[in-house]
Amino acid sequence: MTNTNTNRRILIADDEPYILRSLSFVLQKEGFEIETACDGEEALEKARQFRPKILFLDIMMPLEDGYEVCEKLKSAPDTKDIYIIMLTAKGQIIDKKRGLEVGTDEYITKPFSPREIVDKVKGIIGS
Amino acid sequence: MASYQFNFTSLASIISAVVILLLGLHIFLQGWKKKENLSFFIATVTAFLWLFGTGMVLSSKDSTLALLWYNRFSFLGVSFISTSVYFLSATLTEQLSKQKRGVISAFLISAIFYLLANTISPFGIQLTRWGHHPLYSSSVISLPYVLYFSLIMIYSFYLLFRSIKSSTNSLKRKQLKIFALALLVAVTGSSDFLLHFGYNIYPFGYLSILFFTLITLYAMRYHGFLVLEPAMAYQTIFQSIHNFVVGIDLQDKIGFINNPALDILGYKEKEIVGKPIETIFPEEEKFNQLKEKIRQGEPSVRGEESYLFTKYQEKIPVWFNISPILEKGMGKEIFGLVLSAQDIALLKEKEEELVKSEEKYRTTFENTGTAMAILEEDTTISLVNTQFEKLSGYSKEEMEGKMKWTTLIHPDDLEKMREYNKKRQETSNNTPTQYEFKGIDKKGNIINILINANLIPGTRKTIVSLIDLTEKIRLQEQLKEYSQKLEKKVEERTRELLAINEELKKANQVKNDFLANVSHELRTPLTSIRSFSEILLHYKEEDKATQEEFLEIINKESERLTRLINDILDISKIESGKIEWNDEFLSVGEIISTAVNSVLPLAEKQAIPIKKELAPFLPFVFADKDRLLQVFTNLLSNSLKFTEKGEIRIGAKIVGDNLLCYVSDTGMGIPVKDQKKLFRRFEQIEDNKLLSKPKGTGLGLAICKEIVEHYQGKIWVESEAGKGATFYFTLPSILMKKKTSLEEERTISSLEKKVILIADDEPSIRRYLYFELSKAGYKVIEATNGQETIQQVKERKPDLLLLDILMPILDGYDVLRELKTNPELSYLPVIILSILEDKEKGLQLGANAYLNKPLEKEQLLAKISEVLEKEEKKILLVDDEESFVKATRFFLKKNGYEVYVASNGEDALEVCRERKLDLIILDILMPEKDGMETLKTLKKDPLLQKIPVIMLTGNAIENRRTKCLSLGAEQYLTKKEGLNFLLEKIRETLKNKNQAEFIKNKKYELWEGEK
Repeated sequence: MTNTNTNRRILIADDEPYILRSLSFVLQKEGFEIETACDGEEALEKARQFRPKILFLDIMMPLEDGYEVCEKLKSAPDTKDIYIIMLTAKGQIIDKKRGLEVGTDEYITKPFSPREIVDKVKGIIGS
Repeated sequence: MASYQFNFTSLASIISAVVILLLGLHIFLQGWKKKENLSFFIATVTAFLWLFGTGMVLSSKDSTLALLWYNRFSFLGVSFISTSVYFLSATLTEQLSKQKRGVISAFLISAIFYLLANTISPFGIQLTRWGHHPLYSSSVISLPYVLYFSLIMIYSFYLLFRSIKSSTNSLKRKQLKIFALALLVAVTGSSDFLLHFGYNIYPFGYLSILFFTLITLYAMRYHGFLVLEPAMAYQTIFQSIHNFVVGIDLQDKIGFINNPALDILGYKEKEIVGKPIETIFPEEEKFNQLKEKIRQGEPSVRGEESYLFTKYQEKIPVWFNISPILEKGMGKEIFGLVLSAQDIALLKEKEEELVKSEEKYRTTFENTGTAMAILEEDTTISLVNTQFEKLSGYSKEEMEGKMKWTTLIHPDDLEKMREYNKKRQETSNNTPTQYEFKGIDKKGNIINILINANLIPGTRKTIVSLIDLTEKIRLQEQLKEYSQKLEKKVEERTRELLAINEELKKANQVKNDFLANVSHELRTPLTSIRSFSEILLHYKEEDKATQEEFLEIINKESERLTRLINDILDISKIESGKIEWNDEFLSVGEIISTAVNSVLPLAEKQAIPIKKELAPFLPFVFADKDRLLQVFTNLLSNSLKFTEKGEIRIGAKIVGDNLLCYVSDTGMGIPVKDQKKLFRRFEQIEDNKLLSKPKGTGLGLAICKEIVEHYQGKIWVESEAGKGATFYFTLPSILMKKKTSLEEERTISSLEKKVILIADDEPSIRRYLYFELSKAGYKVIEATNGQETIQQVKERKPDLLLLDILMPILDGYDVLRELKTNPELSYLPVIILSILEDKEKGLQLGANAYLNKPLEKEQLLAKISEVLEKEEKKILLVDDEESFVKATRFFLKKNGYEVYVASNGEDALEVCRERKLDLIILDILMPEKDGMETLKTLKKDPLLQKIPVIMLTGNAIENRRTKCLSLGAEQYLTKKEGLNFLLEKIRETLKNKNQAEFIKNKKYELWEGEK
């Protein structure tokens, strides 16, 4: 029960309000449980409490950036299983490399299509 | 033989004759060329003829035969015997040349007598006991002949006696006496005549003639006449030696001379023999001196140099000596001299060559270029050259032959030198030795010397050559310094290049960062747009409110994207210089109003009032309207974004030479740590609380910064977190003087603009003057009363004061009095502008000019420029050396400069900021902030960097010079170069400065013309 519940939880962390708005809108429509965070610290906190299956993580965020958040989550036993998808606007190879170093599971480059995200999430969690 | 009957008398006569002839022949054969010998020989021949003939007459049996013998033969001797005696006497007494005619006439007369006796009137013959004998009485010529004979003989005796009497030479006298005696004896022979006349006397005449001959022979042979003719063997030797040999008789006449002498002199023997010795030996005095020595008993005098004089007036240099010819037998009597001379022409030539070669060596010695000296064995200096004089400081006269070498050696090295000297003397192979030592010159200076000493071959002398190492060492050090400098330069340059490289790397990094940021910033709004448009397409069943919300987001984000793209384009354009700056004259007030209006709707929405604070008489600004507007708008919207309540103030005022603009808010403020980041691109200090507001691009302040800096201004923020923020920016006051698009020109002119203070209580006049003077390119400041005027003068240090007389609080005269009595303000030139016609008073108080209102524009401008031109150039002298400052200050003031003084860097900078200076003289060595530091600060300050700087130093150090010049100093001088040189450089620098300005102005004019 807990498993199925956690299965459908998604945390979105971005400092851009419209991105939070659009992503949460489409994913809610598909019946996922959504939580948002608009800076790095909040993302960490929510990830620990909310235990999402998937975390959409923006790299450029105030307080703690995406890499730091990712590294911390992946190095803690209870959060290391969170599937982390990095949202990057930089689109540079060096960023992807850094992301993979800290344990990122996947990369999505802005601007993305919300439908793509939904498909991706469904692929990971199952509808 | 039958016709002759010889008896004792006839035989005696004949034998005498033969003996006499043999004697004569003997003499003749010994040297018939000699006149004495010849005349003696002739005399003997005549005696022979006479005596032989008489012998034959006496022997003849037949009277006819006897007569024939006498007339033909014997009388030939008789008629000529007197003449030949005369000839002999003349020869012996050396009177021949004088008696030449007499002798010849005598011979002729003798010949006539002979002819007469044999033709017209022959002698008769008589028979005596001794045989036939001539009879003179039978012929008419007898008596005349006897008379003639006696006359000749008496004359001959006269010659002899006179000569004996006059001769100084006792030997000669003796010779002549003997000869005279011989002649007397001979005369007895003439007693025969008596017989001829019929008186029969015993005939002894023949013997007397024989005696005469013998005595004469003796006299000639042993007393001199013949000694002058050397024997044949000697003759050969005498002729064959190369020396010139001349025999000189007691009358200093040439007795004989050998062939080599004749050859060289060009005479024939007969030409020169008998001539005075002076003919060939003109140095009479020398000759006489030597002769005197010989007379005093010296055997010979040798080794004198003189010359012989040839027939062709040539001089033959000779060594000669003179030896006496001593009387034989008698011993010490001198009866002649032999001069023997040796040709030394060749020797002379050799000598000259030697002198020449010596001269050559001397020249070489003189001109080797190194100092050289020749030392005797005991180290006395015997010869030095000019270089040596220079090196040692002593003169030739002081050294040569007088000074010891050791005088020139430093006491420390004396021992060393002695040792070397000893070693060198001992070394047989004469190898040159080289070593260094310390010397002392005349003044006592120590000189480092490299010496090269060498024995002169074949002597004990040493030749030394010296090289002054002092110079060499100096050069080496210089070279070292140069190379070090070069190394340093290379190092510096390398560092510079590395720095540049680093900068380039950084710039590249910045570019990469910028690109990454741009990408990020563009993708963010694009993501929103894409997401929501897709959502709208897919979730069409959503309620209208939601759809509208999404559309609004799309709209906002596309606006944001547009702004962003614009900003990015702007900033990259500004940066790459591709932007077009449409500069024009702008009223700052207008721009501010426009900016405020553009943000007014937003401000009203937030209920935040915007207050404008504009100072009166704001200058025009020559700039691009849109850009300047952008700055104000960016700042305003920035402030609005962060301000929830309170107010925003926007304003502009003049501070110093700059226009200061500001936008002040009462918003959240900016923490100090973030203030620096503010003006960087994409650095946004936004937090989540501002989510409701439109998002900034992160480029606004960066663009502001670019624009302000383009106009040489500065932008900064003053803020405290929670207490609002004030953004300031400055623009150099760009007035209407030069409408130039050359931005460099603009900044310079604004910095160097002359400041005119208008003191007038009437606003309309102020406004008018402000307008006209600004247009004419002056910076104008104003005062409305006397007190304010003085205040302004003190604060702003204007270049000129236009002073009204009738003003409140303090009137113009009071102001003038105050200014002229204050030494700090007395510099200020003043033009009085008044309706009062009291020119004299104004000028008396120290005004430079007095103009009456109403003003004529042209006149005023002319007067202003005239007064300003006259103004003294202001020089700041920065030095802590009091005596130097005093002297320099006095000197410069005397030369028409206004001089300010500061004793250290900090004070100097203060003065620079207070006064408008034309030139700064900066000493390098100063306490606290030194010259170099001060220079750096000056050249970094945009307001001061144009003031030319002359760096002064006590000691010139080359690399420091370069350093100073590279830092922007105009000149680098040493104090040693003197005040006049400094003055020259000051003039030069000020002139250059003026020229540079002039050229810039010209450029502007041309540019304007083309337009």
